[in-house]
Amino acid sequence: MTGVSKKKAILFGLLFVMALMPRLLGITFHSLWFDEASTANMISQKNVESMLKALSRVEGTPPLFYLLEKGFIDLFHLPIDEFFLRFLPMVFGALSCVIYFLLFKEISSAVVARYAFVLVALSNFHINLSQEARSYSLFGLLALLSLCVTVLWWKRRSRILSLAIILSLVLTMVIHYYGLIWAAAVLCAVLLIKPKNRQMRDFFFWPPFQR
Amino acid sequence: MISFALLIPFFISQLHNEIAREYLVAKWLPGIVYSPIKVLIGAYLFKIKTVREISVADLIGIIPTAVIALIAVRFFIKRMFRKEIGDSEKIVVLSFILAFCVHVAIGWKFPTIHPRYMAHFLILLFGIILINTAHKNKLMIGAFVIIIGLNAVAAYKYFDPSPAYFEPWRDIVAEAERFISSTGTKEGPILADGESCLPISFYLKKKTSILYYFPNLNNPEMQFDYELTKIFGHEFFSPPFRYSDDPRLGRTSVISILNKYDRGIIVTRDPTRVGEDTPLLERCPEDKEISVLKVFKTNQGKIILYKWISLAKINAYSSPY
Repeated sequence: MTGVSKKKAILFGLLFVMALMPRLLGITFHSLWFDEASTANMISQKNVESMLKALSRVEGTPPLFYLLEKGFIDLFHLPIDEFFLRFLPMVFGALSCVIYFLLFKEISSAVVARYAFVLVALSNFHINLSQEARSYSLFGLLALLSLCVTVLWWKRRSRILSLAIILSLVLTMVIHYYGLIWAAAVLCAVLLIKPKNRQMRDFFFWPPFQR
Repeated sequence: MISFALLIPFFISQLHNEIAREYLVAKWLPGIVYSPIKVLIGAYLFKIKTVREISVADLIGIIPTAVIALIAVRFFIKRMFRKEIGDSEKIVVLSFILAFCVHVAIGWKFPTIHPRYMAHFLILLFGIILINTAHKNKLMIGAFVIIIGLNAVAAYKYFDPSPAYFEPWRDIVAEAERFISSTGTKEGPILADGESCLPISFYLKKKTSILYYFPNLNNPEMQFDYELTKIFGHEFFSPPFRYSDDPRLGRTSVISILNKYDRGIIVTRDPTRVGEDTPLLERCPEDKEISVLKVFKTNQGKIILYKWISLAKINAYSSPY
């Protein structure tokens, strides 16, 4: 690891820990509410197949979040309680603060990124969403990530970034149906900025194989 | 494109489920749940119905948001005329605006994200515009610090300007189980209405209570399909009530359960109905006594715990209740 990337890793680690702290405080303060209890009910199904069946009949939402939660709980043999149910959303919430920092660093400056980080890390809305055993903090993380890689691609195009755009948008759609709208919004935003023809073609027609 | 195509069959089947449910439920819905107007005025976001209901915590949530929004939009328009906004910033702001507009336009009928999560997205948007515009202005930085401070206070002093359904189910179940065990028995029925049964069943200790679910007539939207399995390993008695034209058909009577057991708990938000047309207290069997055990205040109103006990049992035990 080079000196610069080591510094970056330490910085992101620090930001992650700073964002994690307010999300960790009082994570079990509130009882599970109806939707969270529904998540717990899904995860407590005996196997993935019955969970997917239950999801389709009761929740009617895409399965990625539930698969991750079930995988996490089953893999480490964790009890289904408030802390462990809310653990992954908390981590996703803290990660999205780091992505928020990165996004601002790209569209503005490091100073602005620091302010942005404070805004989102201490936002009561964001803290609440991160302490809820629902898919929304993961959705927020992936939505921000897709935006961040789109902005990065806009500045310096590469195949990896193109693939990252596709992957993040597809994952957003497997979290919640709103991901479809989000993907359409990001694509339309790019279209509305009216880039040069070449850029537009690169973005809309199979980006990984464009220069 | 290939990735999108692969997902299409999955989305079609899921959307079909959603739409089917939406239209069946819509038979009973007098109003529109996801009203765009509600979203726009923010009442849905903060759960405020009248001005008198606004708390200090709500104000701490609303005022900074409104201030951020106003300043942000003003500065953004100014910068737009000066052509100071870069392409990447435009992409970010436009994405948020477009996503929100679609939500408002179609969210009332098709399943999109919940309005309160949309509020969060909006706050992020305003934050983006504000910080990017005003970070060089000392006065703005001061205002920004105050807003952050107020939000932090709201987060920890009041914890939350009521965007979610925070209800003390843990305490409610503990209170119910305390009552049941105080009557000298380990098992006892708990009747829960509508959406309460799921969180209650999560907190019930295994095999100490029997859970009955009865539909909440006032809120038919909240009828769910629990036929799949026992919830969290509890016996679960649900009347055959699903999207029927007449919600009263085939229901297990609450009174029949009251007759069957000599003690138990009823958890309800609506003391006048408790799943029946006639108020519960007026239909209490003669050999039983029903009274309020405890009232829990929540950010969604109150939840009342009723206890019922046979008069013979009252004489047999000296319960602390």
